[in-house]
Amino acid sequence: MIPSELEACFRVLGITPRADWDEVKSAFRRLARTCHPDVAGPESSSHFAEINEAYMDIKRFLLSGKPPERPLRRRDASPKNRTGADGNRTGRKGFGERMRQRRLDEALNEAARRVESLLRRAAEKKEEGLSSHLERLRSVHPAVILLALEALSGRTGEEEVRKALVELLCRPSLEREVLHRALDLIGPADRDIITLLSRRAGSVDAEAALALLRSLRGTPDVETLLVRWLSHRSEKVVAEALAQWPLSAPPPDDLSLSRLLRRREEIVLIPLLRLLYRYGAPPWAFFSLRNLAADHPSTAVRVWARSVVSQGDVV
Amino acid sequence: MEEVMLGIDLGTRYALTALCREDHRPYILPNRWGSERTPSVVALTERGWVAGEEAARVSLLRPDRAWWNVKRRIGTGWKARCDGRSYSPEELLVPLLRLLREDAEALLGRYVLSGVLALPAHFSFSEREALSRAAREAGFEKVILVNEPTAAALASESRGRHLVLDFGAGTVDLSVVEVEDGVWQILESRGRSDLGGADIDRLLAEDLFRRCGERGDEDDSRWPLLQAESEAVKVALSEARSCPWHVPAGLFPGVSSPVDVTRAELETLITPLLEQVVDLTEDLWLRHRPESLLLVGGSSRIPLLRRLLEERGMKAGRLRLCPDEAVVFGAALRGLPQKAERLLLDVLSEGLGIRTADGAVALLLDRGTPLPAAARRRFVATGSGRIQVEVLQVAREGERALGSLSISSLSRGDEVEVAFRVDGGGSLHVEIRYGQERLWRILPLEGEKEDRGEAFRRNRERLEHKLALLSGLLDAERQDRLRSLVGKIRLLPDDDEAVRSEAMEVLDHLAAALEGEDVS
Repeated sequence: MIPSELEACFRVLGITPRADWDEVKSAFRRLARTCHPDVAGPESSSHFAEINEAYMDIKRFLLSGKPPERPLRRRDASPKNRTGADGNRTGRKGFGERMRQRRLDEALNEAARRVESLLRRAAEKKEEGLSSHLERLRSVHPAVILLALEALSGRTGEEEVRKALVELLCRPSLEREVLHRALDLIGPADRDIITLLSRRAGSVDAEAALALLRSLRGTPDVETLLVRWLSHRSEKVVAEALAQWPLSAPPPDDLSLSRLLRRREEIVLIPLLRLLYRYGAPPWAFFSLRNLAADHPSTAVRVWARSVVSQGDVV
Repeated sequence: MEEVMLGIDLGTRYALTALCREDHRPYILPNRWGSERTPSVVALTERGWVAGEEAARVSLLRPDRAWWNVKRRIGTGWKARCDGRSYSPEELLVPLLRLLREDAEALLGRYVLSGVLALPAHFSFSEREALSRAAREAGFEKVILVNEPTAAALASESRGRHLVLDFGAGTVDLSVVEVEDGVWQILESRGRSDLGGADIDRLLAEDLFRRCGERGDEDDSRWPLLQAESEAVKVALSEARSCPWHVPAGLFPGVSSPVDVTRAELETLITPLLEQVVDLTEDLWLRHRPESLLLVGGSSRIPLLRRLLEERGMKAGRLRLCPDEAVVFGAALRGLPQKAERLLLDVLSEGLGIRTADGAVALLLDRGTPLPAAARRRFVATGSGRIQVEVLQVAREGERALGSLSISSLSRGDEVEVAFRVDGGGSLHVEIRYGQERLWRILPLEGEKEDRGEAFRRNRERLEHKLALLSGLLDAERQDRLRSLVGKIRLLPDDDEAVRSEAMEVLDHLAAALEGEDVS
């Protein structure tokens, strides 16, 4: 015999109380196809909850023979905790009260406006999806970094993007393709980002540094950037920085010069000597220059050093 | 462009990913090494975290810096220790999930922002939450969780009622599913995380040590290599009657190679373990009387398992799928939008309730309740003062505490209403009302690292609560406006500091205005 409370459950599922368990399940599935929140949207969740509850009550009864122990329609249970709040509502509607109401409306309008603008901003930001790009830029997978670089083209003006690109270029052993795409993205015109990179010249990989320096050719005031690269650990980078030193600019400062003159690599010394030949060497440098002219293993270095020295003797 | 929903089977030993083609047929995505299976292992190197095959190589040389079998350690309190820091299993899974995402992105040439993660059916709410957090940490913005046997059922083409046994490297999971007119309804899900193929490898590795005249255990430096060898021998013995094991050069000096291992020898070793799997299956089989049994997962290939099942009257049906791929295919299918023509109705695999004053368990949601599920129930306080409401997950074997909410100042005889809601994504919302107060939390409740978004949410709830109390003073129309405003604020993202602070300001102002203070 079906208890009367259960008949309501059968009605919710749209079947007769004589239905067996298989029919109950079928009815439940039929209803789920239209009422499940995944199909019908979140508005239907309370309707589905009701169906769900009816289904479980019937299941408990049919499979164990026990009638449901809880009141079936919970919504009918006395909503006790409402009364307190309602009790306070009796108020005189005097002038002060009307002012209060107006202030309330103003506060509500103001809040509504600000919430709308916040929602709009949040939507815009989500569209930009900067965090997902940056996450991918931090990847070690070259293909993923390339995807991020592609997505970020045209956005190098943003502070966060700049920082991330600098981080990327400071990484050891970057894939060649990634490196070139990143440099393409930056472009020689982007002075800020190159200045940032130059400040961290010591931590940029040689290959990245070389590619970057080559992309700098022809930039105005390039020597202020180049000077940072003169102490790079790779002699190729130092040589490239010297080779790009513009004709119009003053030579590197004395400290850098003295450090460079102590080096022995031909590829560094030749562009350095060429620069000194053009500008004239400071007097303190002649001792090292004469040494180079006398005993450097490379003929070219000896010839260039001799020229700088003889030019200085004339002056 | 349509959103890419990557199906992920994060196995104990191997992880796979899959996607659905436009005709809704799933296919497997190969990883960066060209393989369909990515070893589920992570390692900490001087260059940072690595995962997959790179980590597998590290694990042979430096087993102390690489971690296998991470998944089955979730929720056990185990921590990996390395370089003076400890890492939870969830943290260890992040590099692996990131690798899977990046491999898919590299292959597809586009971002993958959402994923469907298959996990063992017996995972508790805290464990589910931990995994979905790990996935978000790995760069997935949206994560759907699906039970592994459920996913396998979704992938199989079978109709009617069937039992799916997913026997992987680390877990045994079972689901009873009924398929009718495009609706997959799960009737029951169960599982254990202490039985798996990896245990078979361990038994065989110990046996191989014995054959070489030594006693080896997991602390032996040769263990990782031997376990990998055992796995290979075990796999070979599923096909062959006997398998010559070529002892790796120099591993056991003086042992003549190859050593012959027969299937019968292996079966003697593993029968007790498989009997437990069969017991678990039989229990569900007898209760639901399904039409067929589907075996998925790599360890389901073991001939002895099939024989033992058959001896007890459970014959495995034809799967028409590679047993390794069923779960990941199902995960990819779950990533398709739910429609009337193809709907998955999952259930709660374990009951949910609270502990009452006399120590008994009051069940609010039964095991097997279809999701999304909700229940509320009133309780009467039997004592006064501060009361802890302990939320329990109730399994057949006993209950596990998920966390507790504390109610201050309660007096004897007060009514307390407890409401549980489990959404389709599998997270549990707990709400407690008493008198005018309202507590509201998403599990897991405790032992959480608190991020700033979390603090914002809590703060917001406090203000929402305050507003709800104050709104009693308003007329119906203003109450409605207030409610809609609060609802909109709840939609705001909580990952942006500027948005967070402005939202708090708006709520503060509203509360002040309602209290009748000047808000100029």
